Amino acid sequence: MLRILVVEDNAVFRGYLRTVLEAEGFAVVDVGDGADALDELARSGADLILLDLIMPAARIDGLGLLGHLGARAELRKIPVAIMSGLGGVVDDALAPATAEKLRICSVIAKPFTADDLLGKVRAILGLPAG
Amino acid sequence: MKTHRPDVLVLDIRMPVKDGLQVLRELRAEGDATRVVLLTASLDDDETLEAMRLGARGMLLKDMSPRLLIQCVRKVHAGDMWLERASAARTLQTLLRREAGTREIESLLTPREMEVLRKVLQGLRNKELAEVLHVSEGTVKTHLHSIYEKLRVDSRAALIVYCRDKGII
Repeated sequence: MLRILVVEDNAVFRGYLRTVLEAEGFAVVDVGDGADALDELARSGADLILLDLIMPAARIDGLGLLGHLGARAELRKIPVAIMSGLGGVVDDALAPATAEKLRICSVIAKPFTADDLLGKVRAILGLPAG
Repeated sequence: MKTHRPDVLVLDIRMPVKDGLQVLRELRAEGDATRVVLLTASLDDDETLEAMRLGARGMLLKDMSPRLLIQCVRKVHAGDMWLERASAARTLQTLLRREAGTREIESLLTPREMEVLRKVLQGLRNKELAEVLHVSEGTVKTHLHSIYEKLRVDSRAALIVYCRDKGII
């Protein structure tokens, strides 16, 4: 079963993402902080990370977690989909070469529907469209 | 904040004793999610980035018209953002490029070599590096030689140029 790690500081939204993804048959672990994400990755790894870029109260926020993922060889290969409430800023900022180096496969602009999310997740994981 | 519980907080970045970003850091550390608009005399990239990371929903230049301030507050209150898109994108691009450059180099060097590189980029000479890392100068030179070979540079100056080109400094 494919395993998705959701890193999102809004607990209600995190719960929603977990419900949507589990209903599609994914194994989901959700955390509210990049520090907890690193612990979880050390324990069990992931096939995909859904990452909230801005987490103001986190010990390690989304941007910080990107840096930590790069520092460890075993984590560098995990694809990352960024969830962002910054509108088009992330798309404007992310050059293709940079995205490739950071393994950022997709930017999902908030707010998004369950169908938007699942479409992107399936595409990243190479699964047929639902 | 605790007394009035505003819907939107308009905060000057520059204030004596405690600046706006420090106030915002403390609010966020307490779990306060009040929507914040920061007022600033100029858009500094580092401040823009920190404001974004702290979840500020708007940044306004102080010399903008009062009408724009009203529009900004209304937009932020409605749940939208008021960030100068090009400036925010440029700031974020710098950071993401730095992370990508760091990751590229980390894939080529050992953790110890990365540690040496970081200290070199902080300006430490070989003798200082040896002291900080608790090794001999000979060991430092060995690490540097390995770094130069792996990154295909031939000097400290070339190494710094390489790191600058990768966006790390």
